Amino acid sequence: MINLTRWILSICLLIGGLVHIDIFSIIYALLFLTIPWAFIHSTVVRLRFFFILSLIALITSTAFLLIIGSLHIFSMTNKGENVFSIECSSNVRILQHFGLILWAHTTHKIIFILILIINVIIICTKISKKKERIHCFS
Amino acid sequence: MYENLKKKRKNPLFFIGSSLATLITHNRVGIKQNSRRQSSKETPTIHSIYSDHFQSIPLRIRPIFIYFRSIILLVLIHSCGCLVPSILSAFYFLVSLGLTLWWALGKHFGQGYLYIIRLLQIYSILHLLIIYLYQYSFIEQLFLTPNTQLIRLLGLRSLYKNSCLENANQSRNDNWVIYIHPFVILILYWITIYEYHLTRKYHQRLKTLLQFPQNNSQTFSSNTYHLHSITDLFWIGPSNNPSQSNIFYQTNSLLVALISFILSKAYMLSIMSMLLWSITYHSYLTLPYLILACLIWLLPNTKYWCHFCSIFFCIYAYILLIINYIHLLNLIHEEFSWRIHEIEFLHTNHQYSISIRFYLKCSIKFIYTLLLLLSLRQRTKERAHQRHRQSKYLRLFFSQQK
Repeated sequence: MINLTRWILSICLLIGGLVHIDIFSIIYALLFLTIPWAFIHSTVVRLRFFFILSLIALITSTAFLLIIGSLHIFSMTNKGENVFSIECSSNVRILQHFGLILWAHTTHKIIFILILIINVIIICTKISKKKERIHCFS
Repeated sequence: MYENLKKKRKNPLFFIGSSLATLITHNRVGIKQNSRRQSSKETPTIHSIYSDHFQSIPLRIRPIFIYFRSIILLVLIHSCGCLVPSILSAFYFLVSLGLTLWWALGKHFGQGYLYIIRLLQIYSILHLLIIYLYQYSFIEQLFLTPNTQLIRLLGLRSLYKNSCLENANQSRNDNWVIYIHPFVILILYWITIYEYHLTRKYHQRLKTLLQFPQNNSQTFSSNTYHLHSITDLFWIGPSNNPSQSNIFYQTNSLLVALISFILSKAYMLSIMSMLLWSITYHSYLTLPYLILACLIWLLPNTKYWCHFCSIFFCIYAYILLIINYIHLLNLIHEEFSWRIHEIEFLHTNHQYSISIRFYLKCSIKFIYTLLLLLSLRQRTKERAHQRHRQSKYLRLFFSQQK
């Protein structure tokens, strides 16, 4: 189970880092690049490493979901519609760096759903890891 | 029967005898176990270290695995350098050239190999981060307008479609090679970490072995068993001394026998590579190879002449490879043209594109160079062997005179 969650976390970080380029994805990419160091160390270090890794991933993905969610709620309002109406406006470009994807394109919809799935998996991995940890120490 | 046994058990002598017998056997078993433990704790031989190094791999294919591990690493370094030729990738290309030359000159890597691997790790992660950061539209916008030439020479390309950047999308190249390149660098990064870990472990084990005074005589053999001079094992051949028997020949693998036979004819391979190079990439620059290959082939002592000239062939091959790499550096006609009397010495790319043909061209030439380096390696090995034999005879001569 521990190995499985590790692999899931690694794959999620890789996909999360590659699917869309924004400020959150670079955190995923950096976390992914640190993974090989864990595999060459002892089990105790590895366990601790993956715990910290999943914790950072969880914080990042939660922040990402909150920002994306609030932005989409904002885009539904009258004021938001004006802001997001022009795709290449400076406002939208800035927001794109924070992971905002406009709903205009089908590919973007798919990407957004994928990102959502990845984040949910990361959260699930984190929860299962915590359970394992509690189980180990008890 | 049962009564007889009962009687026997009642007998005190029977009890004493049986208890003594169990005591003696128990002691003997204990001594045997202790001696076994001591012998296992004793000096770990080079064979045990070598064979324990990859316990998960079957013994039959273990040497081949170690041999191919080095080759895979070299192929990856070369691929990182040649998939998308650029100034940033040139480092990998130069490292691969340096490693092969160092190997051909018969030098042992030792601690230096660890530094190279560590350097590759740091460089590959930095390279990956540069490629990744360049994908941000604001960074792309920042660099694209003022420094288009520099960005092109650095081999940075936008891998993501950005509808807001017209300039960037014009310069986008949709060839699959540019998408593969970051993944190859990532694989190299992973493998270098694994390689560093394994090599460091191997060095530590060797250090512990050399601490024991009994094994000082095996210092030389420890060098020959070094992972990165593993091709020597194909040239050493099976020894008559059972204590120093070669693990390669214990495997009785047909592939090992085949490789050792091919490597024994390294000078022939060099001549063939020279002929092939001049035929596949015919130009004025490769013409000397054709002439020299035919000339050496006609000479009576082909092996001697091939070994004698091998260093010059290798230097020339390196010059050709570097020229080829500069040619593949995506230089455009206006920026760079080296002409004397309207003769273009260094070709420039008329098309702004990257394709797998560049990589294949670079790789085929690199393979030809490796074949040329084989004869240089054989020459250095034979010279070292000759020197060793001469010093042995001299020692024997002086000891007899005394």
